[in-house]
Amino acid sequence: MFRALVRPASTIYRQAAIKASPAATVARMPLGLTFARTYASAGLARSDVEKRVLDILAGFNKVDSNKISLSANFSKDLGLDSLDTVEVVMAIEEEFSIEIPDKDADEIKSAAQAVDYISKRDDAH
Amino acid sequence: MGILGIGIDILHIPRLKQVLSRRPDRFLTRILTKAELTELEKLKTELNGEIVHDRAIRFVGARWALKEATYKALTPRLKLTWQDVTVYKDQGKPCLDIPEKEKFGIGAAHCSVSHDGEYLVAQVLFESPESPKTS
Repeated sequence: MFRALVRPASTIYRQAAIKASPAATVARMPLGLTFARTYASAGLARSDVEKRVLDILAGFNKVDSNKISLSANFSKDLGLDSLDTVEVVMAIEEEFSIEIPDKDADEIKSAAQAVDYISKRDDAH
Repeated sequence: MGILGIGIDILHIPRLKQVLSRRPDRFLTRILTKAELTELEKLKTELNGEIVHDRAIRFVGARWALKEATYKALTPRLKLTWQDVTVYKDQGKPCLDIPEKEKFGIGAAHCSVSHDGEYLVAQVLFESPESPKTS
């Protein structure tokens, strides 16, 4: 059902390990910067980010594919409730290999807002 | 004492079960605090490690719904996140631990959870903070 489902579980465990160990977080910093440089030039194109986010929404059974758009509000337009929205955020985390803090996740209410957020994250890939 | 706000949340338990079977690790670390995760680990040990066991699902479901109800009770004045609230039990009754409640400007919390079949409902009421004593 979810494209992200077929991804290796190691993504999740890697995120968990990073969160659990401050040492791992410190060790990850230089690596993150390297990635940012590589990908900024290689380009995580906005259109690519948009497509991947819209694909995630299309993966949700309860979402009417005709209503999916960048500006569609998850709750008002797509009929997603809080549990669905948490799942969307987790799917975005898996897709772009990032962790989205609760405060930021709370502000992501449409695909466009998700794309804006991902564009600001140098570590997204 | 005054009432600051009231919030309620209803959960269709099979939906939580689906989410937990798809993404157990990230969902649990997002929703539950460290203290709650420790409690869940103890419960899982009793249940032979089964996260999709009904009791484990109800444990997570009650915490999900109580935190949603908390959010609803305080919005739009405050926006608490999952990690701001820990649910614990005192003599069988669910209670909320909000370490930064003074900073948030909220008083005592009262909560209640009820189950019937596939549904679970949780309610939270907050008192205004006690006014400083004048002596």
